Amino acid sequence: MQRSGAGQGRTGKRTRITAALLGSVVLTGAALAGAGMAGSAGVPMPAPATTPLKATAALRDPAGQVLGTATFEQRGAGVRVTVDVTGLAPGQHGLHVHEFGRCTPGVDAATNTVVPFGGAGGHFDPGMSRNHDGPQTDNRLGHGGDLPMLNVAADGRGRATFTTTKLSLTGVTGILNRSLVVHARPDDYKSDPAGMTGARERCGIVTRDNFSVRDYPLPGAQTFPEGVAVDAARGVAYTGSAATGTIYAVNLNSGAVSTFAEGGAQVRTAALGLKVDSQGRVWAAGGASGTVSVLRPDGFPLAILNTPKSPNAYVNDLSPAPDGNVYVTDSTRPVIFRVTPDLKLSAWLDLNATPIRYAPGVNLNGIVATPDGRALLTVQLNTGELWRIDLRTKAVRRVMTGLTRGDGLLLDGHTLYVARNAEQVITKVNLNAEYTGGQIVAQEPLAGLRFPTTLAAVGGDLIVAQGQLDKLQGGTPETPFRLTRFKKF
Amino acid sequence: MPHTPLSVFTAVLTAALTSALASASLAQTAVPTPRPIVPGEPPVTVTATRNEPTPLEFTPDKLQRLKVPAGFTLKVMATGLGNARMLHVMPDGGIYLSRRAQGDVWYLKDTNRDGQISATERRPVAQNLKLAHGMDVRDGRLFVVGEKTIWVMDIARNGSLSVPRVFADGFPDAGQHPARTLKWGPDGYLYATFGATNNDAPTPNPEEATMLRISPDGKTREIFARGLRHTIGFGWHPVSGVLYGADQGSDWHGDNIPPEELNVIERGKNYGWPFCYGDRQPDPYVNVGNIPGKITKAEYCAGTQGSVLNYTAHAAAIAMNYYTGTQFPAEYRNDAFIAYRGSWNRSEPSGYQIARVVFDAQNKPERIEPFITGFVYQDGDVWKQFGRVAGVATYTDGSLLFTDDQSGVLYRVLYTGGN
Repeated sequence: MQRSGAGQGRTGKRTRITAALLGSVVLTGAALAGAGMAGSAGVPMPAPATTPLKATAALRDPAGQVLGTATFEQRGAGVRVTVDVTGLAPGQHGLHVHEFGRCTPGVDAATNTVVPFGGAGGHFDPGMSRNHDGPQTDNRLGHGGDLPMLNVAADGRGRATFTTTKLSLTGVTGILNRSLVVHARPDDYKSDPAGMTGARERCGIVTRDNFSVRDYPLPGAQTFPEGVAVDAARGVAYTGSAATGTIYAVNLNSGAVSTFAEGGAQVRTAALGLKVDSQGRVWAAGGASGTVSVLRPDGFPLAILNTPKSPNAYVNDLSPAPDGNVYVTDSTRPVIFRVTPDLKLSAWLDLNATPIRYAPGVNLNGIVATPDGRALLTVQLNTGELWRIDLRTKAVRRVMTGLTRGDGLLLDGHTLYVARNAEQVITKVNLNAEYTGGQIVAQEPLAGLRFPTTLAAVGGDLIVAQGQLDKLQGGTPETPFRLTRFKKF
Repeated sequence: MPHTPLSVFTAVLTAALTSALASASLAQTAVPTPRPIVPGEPPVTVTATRNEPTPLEFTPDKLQRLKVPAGFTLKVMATGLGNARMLHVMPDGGIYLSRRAQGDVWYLKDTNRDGQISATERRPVAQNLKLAHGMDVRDGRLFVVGEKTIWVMDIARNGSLSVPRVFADGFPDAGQHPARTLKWGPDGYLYATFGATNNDAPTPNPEEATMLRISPDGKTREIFARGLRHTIGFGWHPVSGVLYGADQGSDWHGDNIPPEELNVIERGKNYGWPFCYGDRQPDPYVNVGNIPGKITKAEYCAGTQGSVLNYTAHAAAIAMNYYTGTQFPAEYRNDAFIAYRGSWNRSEPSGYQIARVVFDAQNKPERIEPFITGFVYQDGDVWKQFGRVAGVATYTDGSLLFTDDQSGVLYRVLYTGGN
């Protein structure tokens, strides 16, 4: 539930390493052997699980024939890569991880023509360096996807094995569902955008081993799905566009997508956090429009509620509570709004009088009510703090830290799942009985996540919206946009 | 701490997913791939002609120029009405007339039943309604839409109206296309159209170039359909209930591009303007760089709705009215009449006529054909016209009424062939 990852400073090396360490699949409290490594980031962090993340890419030529394989294995904060590919000209070949998990023809922007494997996009650049450089360069200064050249022997076979800390299989530098590309020529490790490496001769999608999810593809080239909510009775998931406000209904069985409510009328131009209430009505947070919309089960707006007019409105998420009210976060204005059952909106809690301190960027974001009806939990995206707000006394206390880029929340008993957008993981937190303390117990990159924004539950599964909101202000999103369904972990 | 091994739940999930896979792929349609850069298009040259036929004030001697089908007779009910635009006929024969340029509504009633609206049978009943245009009646109240506002007035027995109240507000600027219309739908919601401010570029306000659906209390609304450049005439077919609308295509794209459209308007659909016309044809004269998402025009158009019928380019559809009377021969019943006000950017003028949308036995629109013509003609080398038709309505006796907004004439078409 956040407008853009750009400009929020995900470029720092220290932050990157922290994120990479956080990005292990399952963290066990007992296994602290890796604490020394984690210590460099200043955050106490359990070691990765005993079963490391692994992935494979089948390397194809432009005709689609598999002529090689690459494997990837998580090694601490980095990844060990092996490449074995045949049929290439002897000599050195540029080797890069590209942004998109697509080995299809696509447009080369420099010539505006369709080229083989152009669909893979440009070099993966998690540090937003906008610069091609060498394989030892820090991600802040060069593409994370810039790898050592592949040496091809006289028989046309090229093999390499190396470990890089520029990349990972999880977190900010995670390369799951991206692609590995072998180019025709050597890499000069400096020329933009690709080191003069020429045509793309082999391409493979980095696919996590022994792991699958179900994707629900969405229509549109500019969809940017932000919120997700499930109406189990109707068997649909709703998702809303951060770009247009249009809300779609996705049949959870067939995957068929229909337009539930067109965006754009009465300044309902964005849909962020979504919830379905007990009457089957869909609630949508309206972002910069400063609105909260309540849509009937047929999609028609029952009410469009305005917060006080402001150039800095950012109504980001909302949650019904057992008391019958709906509580609303605003990421730029330090206030919690409340909508009462008669659909009246008012400011409920002035956060200036609480320990919550708003800072530049996106502040309070995801919000959930505890099932005992006593409190709200809300995550502050820019500081990574999780807050508990007592519904009766309005007392605010910090539950935990370490949830930077925390966006949407899903509370399942005393288990909290946090979609951490720019971190590209879903974090599992165990909360104590009073919801006053918590501990991270696992993090999942699934099959590769693109700026996961929000979560919803459907039976024993969860659904995440892969919002790609980091591309909302520029850049090329990967289509189809999608919701992704996976088993609880 | 115990954990579910990933491989176990993966296997379960995979099995569950495989069974659902077939239907999922069926549901999936081609999604355009955004490009890193706007696609290129070859240059195209257009020959466009501004040709506004010389306007002539209406005089009775010109009536002989008008052509009506055999069996029909044309009469003039009133002249001097000003910018006579839309009509709404009441069951007692009273007629509400909107005058957009004057921003008012008049009440006309042929009380002495002589077929003429004399000076004493017409009076203004609402004023200061900026760009007042479309009208409809529900529950004894007249609803009028103007530039950015829908007003509502209580109707008195003698046709007078109460002081206008704002029913809904905050609609987009009008710009080039200030002819708003509204109609109450069979679902009890108010439908209103708001044209584009410009000719052929995406608009910043998402409520422009749309049909909006408004709640019965006027407080909330949704975009019902978009990509409609300027749909003025619309309505639900009396038998099938299907919503049809006549859309005006872009100007300056040549004599035949784009054609005027008749669309089936459905909720949540995009009708293509400004990038696509007719049967989802990419318009070569619109800049591709304005398409959201840097996709090709062809990809964009594939995601839009095509028209069901086309008509001569630039003919400029205004009002559309289903014929539900009994005076005309039975074959006309439930057909639609459209006022095509006439072109100004076509070398040979189009429109300047009332056209008939012929529906077939299955109540599907089959063709559009001229019904009343002759308002435009060539006099030597000079094109001239003496009527810009706008409003169309069925009168209480089953005759057809239409207006000329240039000279302020109210015409009446009667079927006399049976006599």
